[in-house]
Amino acid sequence: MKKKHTGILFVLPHFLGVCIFLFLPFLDVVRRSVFRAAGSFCGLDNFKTVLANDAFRLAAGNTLRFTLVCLPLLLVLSLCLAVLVYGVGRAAGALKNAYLVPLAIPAACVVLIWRLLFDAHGMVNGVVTTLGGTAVDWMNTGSAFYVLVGSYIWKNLGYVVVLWMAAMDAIPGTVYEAARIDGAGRIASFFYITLPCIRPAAFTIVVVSFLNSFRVFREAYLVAGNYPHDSIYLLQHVFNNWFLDLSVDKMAAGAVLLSIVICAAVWMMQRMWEDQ
Amino acid sequence: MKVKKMVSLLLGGMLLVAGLGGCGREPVSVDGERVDAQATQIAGEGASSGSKGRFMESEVLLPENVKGILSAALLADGSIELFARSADSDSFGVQVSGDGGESFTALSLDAGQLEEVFDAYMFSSAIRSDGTVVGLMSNSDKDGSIMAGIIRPDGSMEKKELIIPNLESQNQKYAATPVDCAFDTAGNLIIENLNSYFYRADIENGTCEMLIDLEEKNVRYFGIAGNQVLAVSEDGITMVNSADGTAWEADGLLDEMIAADRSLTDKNSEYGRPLAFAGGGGEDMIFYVNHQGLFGHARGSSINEQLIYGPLCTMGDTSVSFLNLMMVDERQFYLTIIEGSGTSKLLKYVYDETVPTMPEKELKIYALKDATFLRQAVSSYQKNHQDVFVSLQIGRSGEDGVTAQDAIRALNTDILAGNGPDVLILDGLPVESYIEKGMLKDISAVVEEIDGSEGVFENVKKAYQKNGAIYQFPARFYVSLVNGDEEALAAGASLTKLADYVTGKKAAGESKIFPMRGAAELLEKLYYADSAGWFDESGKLKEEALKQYLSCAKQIYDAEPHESENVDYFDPELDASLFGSLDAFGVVMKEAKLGYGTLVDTSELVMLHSMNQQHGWNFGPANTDAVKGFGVYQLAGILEGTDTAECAEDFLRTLFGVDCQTLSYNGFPVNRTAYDTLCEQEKHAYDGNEGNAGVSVSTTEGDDYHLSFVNLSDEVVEKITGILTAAEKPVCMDEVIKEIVLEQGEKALKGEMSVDEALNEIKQKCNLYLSE
Repeated sequence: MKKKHTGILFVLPHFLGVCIFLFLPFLDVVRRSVFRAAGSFCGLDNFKTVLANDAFRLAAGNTLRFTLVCLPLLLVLSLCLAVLVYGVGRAAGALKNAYLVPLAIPAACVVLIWRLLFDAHGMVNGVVTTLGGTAVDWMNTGSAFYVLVGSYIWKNLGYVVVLWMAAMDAIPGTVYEAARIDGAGRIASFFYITLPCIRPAAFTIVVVSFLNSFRVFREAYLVAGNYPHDSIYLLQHVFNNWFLDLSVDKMAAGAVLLSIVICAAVWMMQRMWEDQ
Repeated sequence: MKVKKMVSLLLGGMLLVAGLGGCGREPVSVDGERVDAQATQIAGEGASSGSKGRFMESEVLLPENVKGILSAALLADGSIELFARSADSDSFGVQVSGDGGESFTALSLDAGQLEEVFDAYMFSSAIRSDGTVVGLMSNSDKDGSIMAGIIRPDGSMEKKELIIPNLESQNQKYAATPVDCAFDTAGNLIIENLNSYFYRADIENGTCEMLIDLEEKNVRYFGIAGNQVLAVSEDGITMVNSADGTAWEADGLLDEMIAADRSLTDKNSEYGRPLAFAGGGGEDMIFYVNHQGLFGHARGSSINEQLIYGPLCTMGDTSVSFLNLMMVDERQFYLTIIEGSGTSKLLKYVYDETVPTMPEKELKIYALKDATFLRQAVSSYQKNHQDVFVSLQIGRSGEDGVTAQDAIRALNTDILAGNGPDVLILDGLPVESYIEKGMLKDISAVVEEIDGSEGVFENVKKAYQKNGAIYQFPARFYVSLVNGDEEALAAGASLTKLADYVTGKKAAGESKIFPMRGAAELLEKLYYADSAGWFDESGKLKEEALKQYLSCAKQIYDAEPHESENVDYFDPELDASLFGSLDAFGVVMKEAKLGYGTLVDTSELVMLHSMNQQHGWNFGPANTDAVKGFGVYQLAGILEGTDTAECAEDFLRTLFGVDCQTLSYNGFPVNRTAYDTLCEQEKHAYDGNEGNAGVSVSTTEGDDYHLSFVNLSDEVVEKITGILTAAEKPVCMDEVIKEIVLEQGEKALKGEMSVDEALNEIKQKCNLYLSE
C-alpha cells in the first residue's frame, strides 16, 4: 500500500502539470468551440463553418495524405533498418547513434540545408540540370509534398529504428537459440519470433510516429512561411493563421475536431492491437 | 523506509515547484520596456496601497511676444527670467515674472543697442541669478577671443571680449568658438569651446581661466548643478568643481543612469538637450531631468531617487528637448523645453499631496511599430489627463528580433486572456478579421464629434463607414502622385501608359526613366498607386488587375538598367511610402525622367511646388484610370468591452484633434482644420524670404543645382486638396497580401519566374489566405 502511495507521489507533479497546462486549457478550447469570437453562444455553428472552410478542408486532406504516406513508409523502412542494424552486432551502437543525428540537428539548420538543396537554383537542381534533366521548382510545385515526406522520414527514421531495436533487445536470446536448434532460418525467426514479440511495442511506435507526423509543420513553416504551396499546407498552418487573425472560434472548433479524429485513430489502433 | 518516503516527497515537491515555477512571467509590457513595466508595478502598488503625492504639471502661459526661449533662470529673488527671441522681430527680449509665471514684464531694451551688442550669430546664452543675461558669439575681428553680449538687469547693455587662454595647446580655429555656457551658483560663467576646453569667465573684467581640458572625452553637452560642472560624454560624466577646476571621482551610478544610455549622450537639437541639470538642497545634490522623468542624486551616493515618472507628463515626449531645469524647492520647480515642432514652453511642476502617486486609471495603447506621431499624441493626451496613466506598448521595438507575427501572437494571447489593450493602432494588424469578429468598438461618435467641430476629410470617413459604424479610422493619409512635364503627367494616368512611356523612352535611347533603385521599390510604388482596385465588392481578388500590375511593373523594370540591384538600398521594413517616395528630386538629379510615388505632407509639397515653378513642371494624381486610392497611417480603433472606453475615446479625440494633427508630418492630417492650418502655414512659410531659402545639391553628372523654396500658391493647395478629396478607397493595407504580392512580384521582375507563374502563386496564396 505504502509502495503504491510513493508511486502516486512521483506521478502527481506531472499529472498536475498535465491537468493544469493541458486538460484544463483543452476544456476551455471545447467551451470556446461553441461560442463566437465575440463571446455569444453559437452551438455547432463553428463546426459547420470549419467543415465548410476550403482552407481547413485542404489542410485536413493534406495532413491525412501526409500521414497515410509517411506512416507506413516510416514504419517499414525503420523496421527493416532496425533488423539490419541489429544483425551487425557490435557496430550496432555506432550505427544507432548515427541514425539519431538528424534528431539532434536544430530545425533552423535543417531548413537552411533544405533551402540550399531544394531552392529553384539549389544544389538538387544543379545536379539535375548537370545530368541533362529539367530543373524543378521543388517548393512551389506538387513536389513540395515529397520533399516534406523525405524530410519527415529522414528526421524520424533513426528515432524509430532505436525504438524497434529496444523492442528487439527485450526478446530473450534463448528463444532465437531454441528456434535455430529447431532449424528455423533468419527469415522464419523474424516472422515467427521477432514480429510477434515486438508487436506490443509496435503500438507505441505507431502512435508516437503518428503524433510526430504533426511536428513536420515546423520545417514547412520555416521554409515556406504561412502560405506554402497547396500540397504542403497542413492543419497547423490553418491553426497558426487563425490564431494570427484571432479566429479563436474556428480554431477551437478545428482543434476539437482534430482531437476527436486523433483520439478515434488511437482508439482504433488500440482495438486492432488488442484484437490481434 | 522513512528516508525513502522523505526523498520521494522531496523529489515530488521539487518537480512540482520546478514545473510551476518555470511558467512564471515577468510583468513586462509587450515591447519589454523596463520603465513601463516598473511604472505598471508602481501604478499597481500606488493604487492598491492608496499612496498619495505627485508633482502636477501645468504650462506657464508665455507673453505673446516670446517666440523661442533661449535661456531661463530662477533669480536670487525668486523671480523667473527668460531670454527669448521676439515674435515681432528677429531680435531678442528679456521677460521677468515675479509671481511664478502668472504675468511677465518685458525688460525695456534699446533696439538699436541690442542690434549692436548682438551683431553676430549667438552660439549660446545664460542668465545669472542677479538677472544678467550673457550671449556668446565668436569674434570675427580677432582670433583667440569670444565676444559676450551682456544685458544688465536695468536694461543697459555692453559687449565684452573674453580672451581665451591656452590657445597654443589646441585647435585655434575651434578655440574661440563657444559651444555652450552656463552660470554656477557663485555667478561664474562656465564656457565650453568647440575643442571641449572648459573655462571660467569673469564677465565683469573680461578674463577667462582654464577650468579643465576634456578634448579627449568627446563631450556631448554639459550642465551645472550648484558648483558642479557635469560634462556628459559616452565614456561617462566628468564632474568638475567650477570654483577651482578640480575633478571629482567618477560617479558610477550617474554614469550608469546617463552616460550608458545612448539616447542621453546625443544633443538632439541646436539649443536643447536630452537632459538638463540643476542644483539645490545641498552642495553635492544633482537634479536632472530626461524623458524618463526627474531624478535627484547626491554626488557619489548609491541612491538615485525618481521624483517624477516622465511618461506621466511632457517629459516623456521623446520629441521634446530640455533647456533649463530650475528648482525652487523640493516641492516646486520649472522646466523650459523645446517641442519637436520647435515651439518652446515653460512648464511648472508643483507637488500635490492629495493626488495618488500614480494615476488609478490606466489606458493601454498598443502599436505594432513605434512612431513619433503616436508618442506625441500619447504625450499630448497625458498632459491633459494627469489622472490617467498611459501605457504605450510597442509590439516590435526593432531591436529584439521580434517578427510581426510573433508580436501579433503575443497581442492576441493578451486579448484572449482579457489583458488586451484599450486602444489599438491597427497598422499591420489583421484589422478586417478583428472587425468581423466584433472585437472593435464603433468609434463613429468620436469621428462625428471631430467632424462636427473641426471637420475631417469626408472621403476618408466614408471609406471607413461600414453599415453606419466606424471601427477604424486613420490619423494620417497620403496619395500617390506623378510629377514632371506634360508627357510624364499623361503617362501617370495608368500603369499601362506608364509602362509604355518608359519603354518608349527606352526605345528612343534614353535611360534612367523611372525613379527606382530596384525591383522592391518599383513594386511598392506601383502597389500604393494601384492596389485600391484589386478587390471586387465581395472581397475577391481581381485577377486581371493584378496581372496588369505585374506586367506593367515587369515592363518598366526590364526597360531600366539594374546595376545597383544587388545593393540593398530599399528596406521594406522602413515602409518607404511614409517618407514620401515621390522622389521628384530624382529628375533634377538626372536619375529619372519623372517623379512617381507617394506624397505625404505639405512641406514635401512646398519642395515639389518650388521645383515645378523652377522647371515649368506639374504634378497630378497617379493611376487615375484605376480606383483612386489613398494610403493610411496610424489607423486607430478601440477594443470592444474595454473598461476604460471613455479614456480610450478621449485619446482618439486627442489623436484626431487639431492640436495633435498639426504636429507631425507622416501623412496629411485627416482633420480638415489641421490640414488647412498646415497649408496656410506653407502659404506664408517664406514670406519676405521667397527665393532665398533653398537647397543646393550636385547632380549625378557633377553639375551644381540650387532649388529655391517658394510659398505654396492657392492653386497648388486647391489642386492637392482636390486630389486628396477625390481619393475613394484605401489601398490594400493587408500586410499578408502585400507581402505575398511583393515577394512573388520581385521574383517575376528578376526573372526567377514568369509573370503568369507569379500571378498563379499570388492567386494561390491569396485565395488560401482569403478562404481561411
